[in-house]
Amino acid sequence: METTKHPLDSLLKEQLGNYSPEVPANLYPKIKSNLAAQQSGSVISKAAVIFKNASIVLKSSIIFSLTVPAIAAYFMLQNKQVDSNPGIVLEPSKASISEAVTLPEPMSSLTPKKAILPKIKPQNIKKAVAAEPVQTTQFQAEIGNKLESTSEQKVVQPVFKAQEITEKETPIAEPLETKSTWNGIEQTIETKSTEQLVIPNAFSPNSDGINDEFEINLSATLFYRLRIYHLNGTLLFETDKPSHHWKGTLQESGIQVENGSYRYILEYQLKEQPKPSMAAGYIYLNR
Amino acid sequence: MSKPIDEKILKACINKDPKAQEAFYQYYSSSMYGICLRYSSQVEDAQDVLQEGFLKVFEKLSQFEGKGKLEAWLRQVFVRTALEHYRSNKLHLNLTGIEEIEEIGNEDFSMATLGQQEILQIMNQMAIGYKTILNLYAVEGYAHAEIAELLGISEGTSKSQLARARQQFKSIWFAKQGYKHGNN
Repeated sequence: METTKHPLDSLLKEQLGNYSPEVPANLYPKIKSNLAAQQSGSVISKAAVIFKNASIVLKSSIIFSLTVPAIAAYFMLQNKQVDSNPGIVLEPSKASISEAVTLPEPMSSLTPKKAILPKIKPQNIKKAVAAEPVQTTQFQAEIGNKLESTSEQKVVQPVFKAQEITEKETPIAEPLETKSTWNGIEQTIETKSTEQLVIPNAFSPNSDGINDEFEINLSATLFYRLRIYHLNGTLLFETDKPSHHWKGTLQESGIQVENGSYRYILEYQLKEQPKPSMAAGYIYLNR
Repeated sequence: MSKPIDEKILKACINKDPKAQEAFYQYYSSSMYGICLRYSSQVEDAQDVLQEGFLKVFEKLSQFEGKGKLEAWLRQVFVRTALEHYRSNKLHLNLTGIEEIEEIGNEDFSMATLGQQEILQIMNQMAIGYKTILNLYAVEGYAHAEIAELLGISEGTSKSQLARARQQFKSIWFAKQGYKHGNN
């Protein structure tokens, strides 16, 4: 095949190469808490690295000189985010950071440090609890033999129950197997006689509050994927969350699609199912 | 490309200074989010990739050691993270084998009229496999051999998929045009 530059490639490179959309402001806190968790785990190794280094004093002074302006930048950012539309923050933020770094201002006190520490601590506690569910349940069992129920037990009990349920997962009813072909691909569709999967065949996304979303009544799924296709085969909508319903719009752009029939393909696996199932059909959209 | 971030911040990031990390994030998050969005079919996925990518970057920043451009390295990390995310979340890539591809003539199209938002809308309507190939080849500028390795497909498949991807791009674009100028 030829390696000449295709006009479409050049166009895409030109238009998308520097695509820098607004980042939602709520994303960094999650990264920050993950980083904090990572760091607390690597404190010892980090300390070793620092002691190996001959230039401890020099390094720490750099860190200190950076921390103050960075804190200033952080607070400047926060103020801006409160005042104005968070979307517009990005460009000014770049400027404010570089300014703050080159021109350290002693205007910020050390109080921001207090604000950082409590955020890290609760994270660690949560991690510790989540990491050792087995221990807490054993502890609960021992108490249960000796004592009456206490408030502590009530807190722990749901965890224990949830484990019991997952262990009991076994297929109860014989699955009914049916085979269907679509686009020449043979699919095995398994349906449980006990399961009641209801998929509507029409909806009206006209914002009147009645049947505005393509809603499928599945909630407790191990796996879920719904795709909506235009009849020409173009994927219009895709989700892996049962709570995420199609509203008759193109994903991301939010443009409303025309009235008509659309193809849906639903892949899902319920908790009691050993294998994923698939359902496909047409949904009629009429506003 | 924007000028690289202050070296002091970079060094402090390697020492895992939280404030420097936040400054680093603020500096690069927007362009990296662009990559995440381009390789994802959903905003939620893109946000997951962004977070995953930055955690990876902060963890491995000490290994970067100034070889080449930082931004190029970052882009690579985010592209790979997005592909991994995509692979672990999707059942199948929907890539078919080598077939004869009939290229549509390019001379008929004046695509210079397409703006960024329009292109993104078209890309979002494409099958994710095609979108990925088009992104990797056209925007990131990877060679077919690299794409083949990244996606675990053959070089021939990469080539044929690229041709199909371009076709799909065009057909969606035409459909949009028709919708605009149609009887609606």
